[in-house]
Amino acid sequence: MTSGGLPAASTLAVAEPHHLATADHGAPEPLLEIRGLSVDYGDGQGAVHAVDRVDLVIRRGEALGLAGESGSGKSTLAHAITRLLRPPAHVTGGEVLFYPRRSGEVVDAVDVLQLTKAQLRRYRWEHVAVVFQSAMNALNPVVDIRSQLTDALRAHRPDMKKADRYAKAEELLDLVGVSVDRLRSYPHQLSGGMRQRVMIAMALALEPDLIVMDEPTTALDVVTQRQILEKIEDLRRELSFAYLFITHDLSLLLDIANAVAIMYAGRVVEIGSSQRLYEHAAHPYSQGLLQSFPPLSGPRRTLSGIPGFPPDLRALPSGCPFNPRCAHAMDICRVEYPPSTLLVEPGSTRHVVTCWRYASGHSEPPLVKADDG
Amino acid sequence: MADPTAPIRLDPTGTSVSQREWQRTDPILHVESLRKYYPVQDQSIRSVVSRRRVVRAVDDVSFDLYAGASLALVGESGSGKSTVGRAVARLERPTSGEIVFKGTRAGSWRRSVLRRYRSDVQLIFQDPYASLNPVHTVAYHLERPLRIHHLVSSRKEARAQVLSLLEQVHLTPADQVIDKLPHELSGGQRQRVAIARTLAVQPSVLIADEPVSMLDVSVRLSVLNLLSDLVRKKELALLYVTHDIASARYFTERMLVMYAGEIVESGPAEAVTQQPAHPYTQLLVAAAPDPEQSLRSGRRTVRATGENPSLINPPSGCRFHPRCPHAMDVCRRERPPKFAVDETRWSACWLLSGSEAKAGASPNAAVRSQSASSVTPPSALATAQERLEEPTSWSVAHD
Repeated sequence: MTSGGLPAASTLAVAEPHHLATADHGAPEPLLEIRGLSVDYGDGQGAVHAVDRVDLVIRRGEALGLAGESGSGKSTLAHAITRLLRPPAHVTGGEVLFYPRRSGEVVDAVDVLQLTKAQLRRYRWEHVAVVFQSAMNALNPVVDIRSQLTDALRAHRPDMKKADRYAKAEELLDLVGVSVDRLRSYPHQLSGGMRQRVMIAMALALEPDLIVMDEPTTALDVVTQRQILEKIEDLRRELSFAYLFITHDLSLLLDIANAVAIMYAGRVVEIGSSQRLYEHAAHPYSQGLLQSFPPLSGPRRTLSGIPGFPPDLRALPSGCPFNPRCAHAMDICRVEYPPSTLLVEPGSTRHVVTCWRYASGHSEPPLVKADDG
Repeated sequence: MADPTAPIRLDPTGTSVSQREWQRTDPILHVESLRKYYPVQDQSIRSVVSRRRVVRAVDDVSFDLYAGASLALVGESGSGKSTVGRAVARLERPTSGEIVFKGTRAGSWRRSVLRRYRSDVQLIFQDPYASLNPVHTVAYHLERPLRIHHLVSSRKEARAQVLSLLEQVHLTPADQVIDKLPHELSGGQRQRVAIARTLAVQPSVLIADEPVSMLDVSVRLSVLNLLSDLVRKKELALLYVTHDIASARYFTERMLVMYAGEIVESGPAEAVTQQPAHPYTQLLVAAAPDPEQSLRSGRRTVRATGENPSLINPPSGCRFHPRCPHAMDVCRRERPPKFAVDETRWSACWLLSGSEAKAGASPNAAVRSQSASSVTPPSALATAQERLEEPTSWSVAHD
């Protein structure tokens, strides 16, 4: 795979690693770097800031989870990084840097938001593929599975022979654990779980570096969900792509992802490894979210959830948008949005929280700050 | 608590099912051998030449609800759990079976009888966006049941009642909520209005069909906690119908697990989730997200196979046998009866039959040969007890 046709970022933007999001040096290199990304719905006074100055790094080959409630902006973020936003949604700021390196070659980053139509066509499917929540209904009901599986190949590999495409379709179906005699089936002949597997097979067709999955298993039963998650994880290890897994189900993310980012009211409020977040979540919202999922094992205890109701993006409170629901809210929380703080995490340093409690010079420093934070 | 599995003698002549009066320690609601079959709309020639086909949505389901206690009915989509809830609320006419409310058989479909029954047994629906009428205020929704059931005599009294109901579901200040329209409320607030509406008619049984699955995750627990408080304070009997076994463990005392229209396991919620006896329950527990386990003892791999069966032509014998790593000959031949696991639990699995238990996984199903490498079939000596000590026999691979 080449990066031909993609312009170098140096001509578009400064490609300097963000000091917070990529603080550790031994970690895998970044694959996609979101910097200060903002997305609004509508213009002017009535604009809703669905995604607000988000910084996030997806590393090569990792499973990154993105958790948040409905309205937190997680799906809008997914649409923004794949350039699938539709009016009235539009990007108002920031950049999405993609590092298209393959086979050890260092290639300059490209800003996805600046790609031309032709470059974008190449970026999608070949570099980044998407599996959406509605994937069960995303298949064309009057076209058989084989044609839909080979569609991307036909468009992106025009010199590929028909027989090779069909062979590839068989290989792909086999990869996701669907029997190859389903190739000539139509979507209605498949169960929901199988249709979702076909969608994943399509996403894998051109061996992308990143698969964005927006609630891919939400409509499925627990057992089917588990089967598909295990398949995705097996494939990730085998084919070494990275995926961004978006869901409201934090307990599921902690179960499957290497690292988890948590969004609230359009902002990423905390990011850390699954282990770290589960044991030492720092942001009061993350702590509350963890308290919202009753555990299946371990001691049975009374949980409280989070008081109050999710925010109305049209009328966000000033300062930190979580402050009306926060038990630790201080005066400054109602005035100013908190800065991001890097917290020490043994083994890896990627625990970043955006909360006044951890900002230097404020009253409660419950966790040790990193030296270079 | 009385033995929930003990059969209650039914009196075929009268509506009263027992010679003695109903007592507070008896179950408020007793469901016996409930069946619900739906006819299949079939245009093909087969429907003419063969007998009519049916979907066996619910097959032989029995349970009891007690005052001040909640019972979870856990199953995947298509397991028939919602149909059970709807049949018990008498929104569906069961194909056969008995529903006995406070010692009296609920058999009649006469309007006056039904109205009485439906004020005693109330249903909370899943979707609070659909269950409230968008053009009517909160007050209208809550006054209507009060009027229909003649519980208030004046407008003023109705308003006072509505305010009190709103306070009971913690929608305060109530006088600010009462005149709002549904679109002015969040999902959690709407579901509280729906709960208040069920309380208006002073029911003794609540049937909650996935009451929180449409709500934002951060408000789900507060709604579950509210239901839990109401059950305790008002001595309600609650049937919690859900797909989420972790939430069922969180707030119910007893649990029924349903698979393909049948109940496969019944017992205290803690025991069923921590030491599941039926292979399907084991699968369900292993497949559910559980960061506590995966982050403490390593990620686990379930390697589940198969899909839910057709209910038009369900598998012979035990309906789970095509997916079961422990399937034996008897499982394919005969439907398993309820075997006692201990004095509080039973499971419909031949592995618990003791003397009948035979070794070996089935050789026939190709899907299972895949799982054979990751799931160890029970040895010839595998007894129920041994298997209980290994509750997650599905989750064998750790890394």
